[in-house]
Amino acid sequence: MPNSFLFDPNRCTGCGACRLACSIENQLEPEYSWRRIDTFNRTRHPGVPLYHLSLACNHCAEPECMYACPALAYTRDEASGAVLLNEDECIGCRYCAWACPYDAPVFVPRRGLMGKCTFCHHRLQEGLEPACAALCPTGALGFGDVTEAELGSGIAGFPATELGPRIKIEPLQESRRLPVMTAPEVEYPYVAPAEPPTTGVSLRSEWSLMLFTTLMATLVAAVATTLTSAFSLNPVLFLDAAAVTMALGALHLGKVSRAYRAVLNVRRSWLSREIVAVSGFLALAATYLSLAPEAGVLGGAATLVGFAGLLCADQVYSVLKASRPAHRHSASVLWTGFFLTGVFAGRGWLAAVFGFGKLALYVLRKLEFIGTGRPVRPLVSLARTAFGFVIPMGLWLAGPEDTRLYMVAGVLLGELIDRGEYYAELESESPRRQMGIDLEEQLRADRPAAAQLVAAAAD
Amino acid sequence: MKVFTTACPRNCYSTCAMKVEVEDGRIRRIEPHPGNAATPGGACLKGLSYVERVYHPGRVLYPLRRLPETGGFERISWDEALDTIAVKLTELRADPGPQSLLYYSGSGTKGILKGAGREFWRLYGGCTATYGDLCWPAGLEATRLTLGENKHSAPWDIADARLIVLWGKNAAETNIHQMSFIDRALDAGAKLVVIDPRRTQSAERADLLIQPRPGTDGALALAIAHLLIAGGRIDREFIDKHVHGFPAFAASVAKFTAERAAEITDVPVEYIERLAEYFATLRPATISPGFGMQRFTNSGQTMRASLALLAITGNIGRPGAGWVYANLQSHIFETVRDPLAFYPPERPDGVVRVSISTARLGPEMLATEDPPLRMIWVERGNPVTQNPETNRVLEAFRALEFRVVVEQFLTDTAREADIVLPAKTMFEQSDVIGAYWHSYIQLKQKVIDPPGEVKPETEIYRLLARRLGIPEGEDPGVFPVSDDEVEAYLEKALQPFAALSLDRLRQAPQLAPGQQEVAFSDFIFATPSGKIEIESAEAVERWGVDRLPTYEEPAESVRQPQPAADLYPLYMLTPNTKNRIHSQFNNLRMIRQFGDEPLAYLHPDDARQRGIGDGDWVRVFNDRGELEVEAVLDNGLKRGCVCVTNGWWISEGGTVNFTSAARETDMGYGAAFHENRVEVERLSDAE
Repeated sequence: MPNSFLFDPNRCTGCGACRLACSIENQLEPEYSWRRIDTFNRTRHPGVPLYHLSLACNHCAEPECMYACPALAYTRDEASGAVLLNEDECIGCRYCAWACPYDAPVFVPRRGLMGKCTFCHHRLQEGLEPACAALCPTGALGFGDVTEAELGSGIAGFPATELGPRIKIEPLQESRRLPVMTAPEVEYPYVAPAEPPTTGVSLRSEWSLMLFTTLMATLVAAVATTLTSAFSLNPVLFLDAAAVTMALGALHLGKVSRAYRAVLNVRRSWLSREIVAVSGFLALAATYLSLAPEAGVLGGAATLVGFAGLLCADQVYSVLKASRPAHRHSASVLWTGFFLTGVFAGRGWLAAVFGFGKLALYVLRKLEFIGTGRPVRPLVSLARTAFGFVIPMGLWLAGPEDTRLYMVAGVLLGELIDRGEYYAELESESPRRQMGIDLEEQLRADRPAAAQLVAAAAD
Repeated sequence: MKVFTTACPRNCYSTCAMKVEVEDGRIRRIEPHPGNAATPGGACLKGLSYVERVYHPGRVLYPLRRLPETGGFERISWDEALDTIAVKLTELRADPGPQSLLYYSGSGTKGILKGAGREFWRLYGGCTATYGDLCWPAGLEATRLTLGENKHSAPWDIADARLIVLWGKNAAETNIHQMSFIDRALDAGAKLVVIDPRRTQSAERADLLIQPRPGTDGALALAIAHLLIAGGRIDREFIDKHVHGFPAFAASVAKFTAERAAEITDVPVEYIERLAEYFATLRPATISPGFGMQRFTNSGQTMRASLALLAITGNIGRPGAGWVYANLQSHIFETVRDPLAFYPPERPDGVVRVSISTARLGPEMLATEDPPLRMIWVERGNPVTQNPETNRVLEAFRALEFRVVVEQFLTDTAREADIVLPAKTMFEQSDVIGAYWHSYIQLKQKVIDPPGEVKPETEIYRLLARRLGIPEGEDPGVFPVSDDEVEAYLEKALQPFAALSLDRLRQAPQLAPGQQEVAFSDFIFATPSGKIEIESAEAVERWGVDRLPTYEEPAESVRQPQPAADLYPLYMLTPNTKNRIHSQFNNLRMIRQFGDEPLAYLHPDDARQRGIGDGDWVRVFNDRGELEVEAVLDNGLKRGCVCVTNGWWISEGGTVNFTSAARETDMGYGAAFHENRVEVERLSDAE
């Protein structure tokens, strides 16, 4: 495979020249670069090697970023193999960064756009190597021909994928992977918490999506309810809610003025599909509620498209391969949609099936967290189950008729909390995350005492 | 777009050749220059960051005057700046005399035009000047006493070594291009030993990392010598032919057992024996000692001891073998080479009073009498940050009447100045530079015009000379100003060397005439005996140390009675990092992304004992001063050490020299400021 990065961790000293070379060549802000250096074992545990991975975009054979991009802003240059981001077409939704396991696309807040390594495409055309490889002072980073079999790497910290990254990473040489140290005694070794991925997903960055998805599920359930009961939905209220929903979705974009581009990749991107379905639902439902509230077929169509939108919303997160699939999560918006329909419409069986299903998924997940040492957040769990299940169920079974509103409010609050936990738990694959996992594993294998500390640090 | 050949003139081993691309009068990028075989991979991150440095918004582009009320600065004209300085100089020259001015120049940049400063002050009527050096004189003197001169084989020769010892050197950060040649040796099966209290980046490649108690390396070397001699695993033939003083040395180390060294160095016997075994079986062997270990009160003797290891194993003058310390083969323009250039003159000339030890700058400035110091002129240096005992240096600066600093940025020293004059960068005036690792002569070429009102030092001196009525100031042979004058000046300096000319240097770096690829391959040693002198009479006469390499406990160690061990129990290590050359580069955004505040690295057990956690704010202190920084726990550090990299400005969070001591080394007039005991305590949240 021509045009591949060649990286030798045995020669890299983590000096940072490649990172600067990239910034300078591509005229980026001085501290911003498309190349990043991550360090394995940065706190220097005896018995574990310290090395660096200098990574930019690997211009994968199967570029998940390109497939995920809803705006079709990515293209592949067939001649060089470069996966290129057209900045004029990027909407700044960050979805490509979620999809990429190498943290290659980086959001530039000042511009509201993603930025990404171009393979120094302009230099390749002149017959030059990418600047990072040309300016590596130790020869650790190179560029050239690699056979298919040599691509990828088994080195700790490099996420193993099926994407066909165009990079060959030399294995660590046994003879120089670790010095014999004459002063290795550390009675209480320090285990650093894993560094968060640079392009990570978190509740803090995705709070608008938490509100957006929960509101969507509520609206779909409300429209569905109009079909099965005497419940009628005020069209003005619905239009207001629809506007809020759209605004919340757009809030997530870096370039709102290009929001229309988000529907261009229906063929491959779950994000495009979600946006098409959600827009379709809002339009159909608005028409149905304000112009033809008697037209059951129109309401049915709106409901169907709405549930399809919820399904797509769940699938959007399937690019986060390190996270639990949405259908196995109690905060799946599709399950929420069904559950809320049951609650709103007063259909006990529907509410019970999805309510108990969600509760079971919730409890099982928390039990798993206890088993693997992940944070359980007991107070949050208590609030979620109390407001979302216990109190509404009590009101349903024993409460007077006029407490229904409290019951619905409790259910919605519980769902919102669960959805918040969902975003807090989302993880995208990244070299930093992988380094944390792999280091922990090596410490367990090499130093049982240190492993106990890992567990202690996690508490 | 124009492409220029130039070279980086920083005080750094690598002295990289580079190609600078200039577009519309602006430096666009910096590419590798294959003409320098020592640095073919291109500049390090600092070299690349010039693209930001030259155009940095913080750069001093106009003369500045400090406003005494606020401590801020205001822009003034060159006329006003030079008139003010000239009035002061005229006044001081009359009373109390020209020697009341201290001319302080640092190692901020290389080049033969540097000499203009000393010339000017001589013409002015004299001045006071410093002797010695902060960096490396102990090892230079030890090498001169032992081998006769400071030179070593070409950088790539280490690729042929079978044993490489990086002794107190972290090449991966301070001499990154050496790592390529070390990698080549490792690929061919060589063994790498790193001796350092820290688990450095260089140590990651090593077979063995020996972590001695700081300042005890001499004991380690003597014990290895003992093991080699006792086991008969030495090169008899080489010793007989080329070594002076072997029998006396053998007798003196006869009792220096590995057990004794283990007790001193804190390195288990097993590993001392293993290193001795490597020296016995792996040849050729190269030792590359670093500069950090030059800054102890026993450094000269330590260096003589490790040099002796190479002498007795026949590892001098052969390919792949040797002592890669200082290679001054490119210093062809100097009449007096280091370390002799650091000595105060034997017979003072009555004009330039060379009386202040660089190592004791603060206290000696304060103590100077007859005449006392009234004014200082600083160029190419940042002594407030970089010289020992910062508080005393500051006190001495503030005791003066008038201070002029020529600088590119408002460093800690510039902030103390009454007048700051803008300094050129390496791209704004041509000069010819040597190096101290490879033997290339290189042209540091002018590629852009100085921005703002920046004037090179030669022009500053000429303008000042005019105001002071010094007619020699107009001599372009001393103070070249225009591009033509500078070129003529450089051409004249190159003229004695047939192989060198500006035209040739514009194409590519040129190896210094007469340089040896394998140093001492002729086995000629410029010592009194003509041999490698393990035993040196001059060492006794000049420095009052033993004739032989011996081990003395450093003056400031936890095993000395004063101060009590429990008062300041930690050794403060203040190494250089890849991110800076001393106190340069740290103000750049490109560099600060790799760390934007000083950090104190602590061994986790030492930290736990003091209730310090990772990320806690701590106070590092002793009687001389303190700094407040964030703690980072480092499992690879030797217990009993704390490490803060040097070069941070006070304005960036604090210089390590608040705690260091103004003290000289045992030989060479170096600064022993790495003997620095401190305590570290956690700052409570309330503070």
